[in-house]
Amino acid sequence: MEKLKSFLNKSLLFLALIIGVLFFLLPIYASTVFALQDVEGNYSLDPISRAFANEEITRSLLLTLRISVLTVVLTLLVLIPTVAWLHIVVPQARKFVEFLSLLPLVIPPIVQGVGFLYSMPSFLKSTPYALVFAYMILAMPFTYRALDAAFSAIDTKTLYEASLTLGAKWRTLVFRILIPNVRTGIFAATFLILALVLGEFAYASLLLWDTFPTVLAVAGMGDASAAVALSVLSLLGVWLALNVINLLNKSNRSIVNVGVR
Amino acid sequence: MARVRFSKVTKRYGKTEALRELSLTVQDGEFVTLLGPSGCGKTTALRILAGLINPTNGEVFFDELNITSESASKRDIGMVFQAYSLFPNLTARENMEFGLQARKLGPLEIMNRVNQLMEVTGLSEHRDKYPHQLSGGQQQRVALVRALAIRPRVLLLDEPLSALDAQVRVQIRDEVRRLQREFGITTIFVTHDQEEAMAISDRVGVMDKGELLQIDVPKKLYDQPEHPFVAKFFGKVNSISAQPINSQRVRFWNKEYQTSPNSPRHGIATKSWALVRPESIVEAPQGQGVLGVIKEISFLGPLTQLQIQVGKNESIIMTSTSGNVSGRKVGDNIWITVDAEELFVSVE
Repeated sequence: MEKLKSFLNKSLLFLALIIGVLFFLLPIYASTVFALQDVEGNYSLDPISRAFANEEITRSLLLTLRISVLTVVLTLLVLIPTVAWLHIVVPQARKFVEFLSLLPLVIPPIVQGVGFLYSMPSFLKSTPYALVFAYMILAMPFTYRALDAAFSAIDTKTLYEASLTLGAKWRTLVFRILIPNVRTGIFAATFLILALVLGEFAYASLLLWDTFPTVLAVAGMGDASAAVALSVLSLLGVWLALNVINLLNKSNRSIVNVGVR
Repeated sequence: MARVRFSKVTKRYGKTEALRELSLTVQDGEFVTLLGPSGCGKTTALRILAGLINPTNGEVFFDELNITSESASKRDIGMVFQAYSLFPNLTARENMEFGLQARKLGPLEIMNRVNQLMEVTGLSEHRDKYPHQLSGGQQQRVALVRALAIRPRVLLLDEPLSALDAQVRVQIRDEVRRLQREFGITTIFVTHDQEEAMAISDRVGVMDKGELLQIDVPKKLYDQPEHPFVAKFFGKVNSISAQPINSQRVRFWNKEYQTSPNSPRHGIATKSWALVRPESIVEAPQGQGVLGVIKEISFLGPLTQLQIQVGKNESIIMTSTSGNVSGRKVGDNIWITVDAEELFVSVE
């Protein structure tokens, strides 16, 4: 009876795993087939070449990458000191800030977009880089949590006080102690921002900027297979980025062990 | 090294007074322990000295230099924390070198200082390990070396042994004392463990509710407490209901005792308690002293502790050399009395 129970449990788990994998892989497989197969059923890479030949698509891809990098840099510049300050000076405010950081998840994008449009300074209205600030807010629920978890895993306040009593300056504390020890959180935040910006449609469309996802949507109306081929490629790109980040992180994981206390 | 002086230092958090007018001088090279229960203000005093928090009132001096507004990084102090505070991304050696690099010392000087300290503390074989590869005791040793390497003017120890198991605790406690003597560093140690305080300190200051109640050498604190809290917190003590005869004498268990001059003044009608150490309770000849019943016997090696019920609800702890009470068993009647010239008497 026990054996039958265990067999059933294992089978159910296996089934759940198969369903999960299929749920993610089937659409990717279907998209790949749709993108690369012509009407006679032959496979070719033509749709990809056509997509890259489209200047608008490559321009929008480069713009989106630049926006991604700027979003990552600005988010980390703002959030690392903020989260460190929260942990060291006002730990009691962490819950409130966490609640604030979740607001972008609850407020509908259209409300956020219109609000953003009205509140941003006029010099930013003429540049697509205004999206950087919108994406910083949009990514906040994920980035804040990733960094907060990393700072919670180390005893930030004690490390700060130890370095202070040893005579270290702020620069040493930040670059030699804090950043190396919250590397996991920084990598996680970076990846989440990249994934979000490369696929974000609502804001860009509302603010009328031609980013990669909006151009892709328009291109899909004229040349669907080229657009889908690019979607699959961007998915692969994000997956590759995730692996690179993971590899970089692993190289330091043995050192930055969570069991500090 | 420096002489440390707190001058009427007060710290308030809103309406709560964490530290009240602390005035204390720690001499150059002295080892002083601040002892007290949680929330008594001992860590607050240490953190004010370290520059990690600012006092509401009062001043702190190193020798004659007022350092009250000096930042923590410029105070030249070494501090070991209760929580393991090693930098997790640096090896033991890099941790020990951290403070010296912050002071921009030359690589040769850094190497010499760290090597010397690693040798005397037996940490050489662990130099390339990361904190998570070290035991709790080893981590606190590295933290101690890291604090000593900078040759601080004052060494501050904030309950550094409380997370360690009993055996390692004693080892590191002795090591701290040995290194402190060897380097002659003025040291302030904070703990809630009175045994630790007695074993390690030149002087012990007992604190309660933000106040320093008494500071003295451990023996004097134990034998001549000046405050009921000190008598009760510093070592075990029996509170025995006593009848005041006059302002200097009390009577209990059919005998009169002289009140110690440190005791609070008491009148004939005052409700009083004689505070008696367990080792001052001795067996009396039959019919003398008071009759009790042994309720529990705990063998502690050379000593044995008896819990004796006197009357209906007075529970007395008596310690005696194990040989003297070896024939006793739970339920036996025993005549006991107090063997002391004078007693500390507390009043309600």
